[in-house]
Amino acid sequence: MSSLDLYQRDLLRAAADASHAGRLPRPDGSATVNNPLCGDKITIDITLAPDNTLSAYTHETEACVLCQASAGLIGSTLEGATATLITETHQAVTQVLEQGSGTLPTQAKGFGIFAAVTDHTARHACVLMPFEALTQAVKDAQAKTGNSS
Amino acid sequence: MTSFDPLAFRNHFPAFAAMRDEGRDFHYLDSGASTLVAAPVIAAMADHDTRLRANVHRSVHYWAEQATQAFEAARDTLAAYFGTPRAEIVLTSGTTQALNIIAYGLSDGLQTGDEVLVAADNHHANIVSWQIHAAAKGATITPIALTPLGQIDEDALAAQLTDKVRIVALSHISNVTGWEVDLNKIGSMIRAKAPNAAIIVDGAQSACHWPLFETALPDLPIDFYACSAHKMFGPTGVGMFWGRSDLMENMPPLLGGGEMITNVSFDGTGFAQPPTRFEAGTPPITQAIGFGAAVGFLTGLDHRAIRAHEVTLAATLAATLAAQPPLDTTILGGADFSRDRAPLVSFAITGCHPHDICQLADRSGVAMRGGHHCAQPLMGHFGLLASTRASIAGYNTPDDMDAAINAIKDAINLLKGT
Ligand SMILES: Cc1ncc(COP(=O)(O)O)c(C=O)c1O
Repeated sequence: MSSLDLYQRDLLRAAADASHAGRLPRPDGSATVNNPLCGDKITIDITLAPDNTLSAYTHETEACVLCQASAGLIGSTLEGATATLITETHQAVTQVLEQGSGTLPTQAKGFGIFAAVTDHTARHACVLMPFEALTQAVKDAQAKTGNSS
Repeated sequence: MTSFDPLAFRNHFPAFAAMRDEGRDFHYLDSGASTLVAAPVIAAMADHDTRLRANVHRSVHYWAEQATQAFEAARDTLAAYFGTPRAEIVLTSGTTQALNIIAYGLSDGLQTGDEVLVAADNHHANIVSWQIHAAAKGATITPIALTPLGQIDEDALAAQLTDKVRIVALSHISNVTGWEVDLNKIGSMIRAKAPNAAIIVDGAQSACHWPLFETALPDLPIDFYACSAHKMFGPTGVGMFWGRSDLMENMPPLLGGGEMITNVSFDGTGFAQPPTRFEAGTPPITQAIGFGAAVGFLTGLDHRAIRAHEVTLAATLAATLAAQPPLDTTILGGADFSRDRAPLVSFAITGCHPHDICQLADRSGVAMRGGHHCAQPLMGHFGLLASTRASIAGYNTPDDMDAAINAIKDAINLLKGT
């Protein structure tokens, strides 16, 4: 697959989606992840509802289009999701990257655009960085609120 | 105009014919990471592995003798190229291993209160090795400040030099900006104001054009110099350092094992003299022979003509990028390539990530590097996380620059949606 497929309209649109950009004033949990390869950085803030679902999510991203698109898609598809669904989506996106296909949860079908990244192994980390930060932020929130799934 | 012909120079590099056969566009602008490999290097390694494959410094049979002679002949070639005694050339796996061996060995004599000055334009190899080894002895690691262009701030350095400074770690040529440090000038200043300091130079980006400096390493006011063959038209997996023998004498080895000893017993083990002390285990024999061939190849080149050609290309690329107002481009270190500068063009374009630019440029066969270039403190100095780098070698042509400029413009159009 060529890099032409990589930079499709859907991906660029997801990257440009700024609706969840920024910081939350009072997050339950936060995490920052750096990409050691390029120095890119993402900070994610979240709040969890009493039933442990993701009630608010923001990202502050200094990174490439792939990372931005992944962070943007998390915002547009996973707000309201349970921690289990977040983990399932993370795993399914990892599988999509490694194998070029995978069974994505219904809400998270949009992450299918990352199938085009499969052959570009150096870029997998760019897509997964927001998930790593989100997972850490959820753990942080669960530790602080005493909730766990 | 110079008489240097980059297209004829390409004939020394089989990669060009191979890519032509594959029908691939090939604009290799990543020689700062690794150069292409020259034909005599490939031939020397294949010949060695075909006819004379054996371990060195061990067995007495014909093949072992021949392998040992070829390996040591490579050391002779390196010594001649850098103008050093052969016993002061230590073969390593590359610059990184070399700098770690030096940092470990020199840190042995450090103690709390000693200072290690590390130029902030260094590659991580000449920063982290000191953070690991010198800091473990209680020494303080202090960065040497940079000017806005990313060069060593000489006034700031002068103010930092005292009797307490035991190590100064410099980068001869920055792998991001291409700026060269005048080792004579800076080294003399250090010698005068910090007489207890050993001066360690990362030569990874300068070794390929050593003849340009018209000096032997021992004649410079420095003590150690490290480099890697893969940035000198040679193979990966091998590099070297030069060190003054009186300093190396007192350095303990980082790695222990075969070859580097005089005798081993459970009552105590003796270390061999340098360079053997620092060459534990089976060395990268085939690669060292390739390294020798690479340096033999470099010795026969007209470095002035090549550098003039490379810098003309770099200046054109930098000026073209800087002159595109809609691009909002910063050239790291400025766009002036008229003096003391290697042909590395690193740039940042607001709103376009280096990885995206490089990935999109790859569509046209333009190979550049995006990232922090293992120089995060320098990136931080420029207020950036990452940049895109086009690094130029003698085999690059104006056509490569046109391809890069067009690819960068196309990438920006796509990323900015214009
Ligand atoms: C200035 C500089 N120093 C050190 C290194 C590390 O060299 P190696 O990876 O061959 O050990 C590099 C390579 O990128 C470099 O450019």
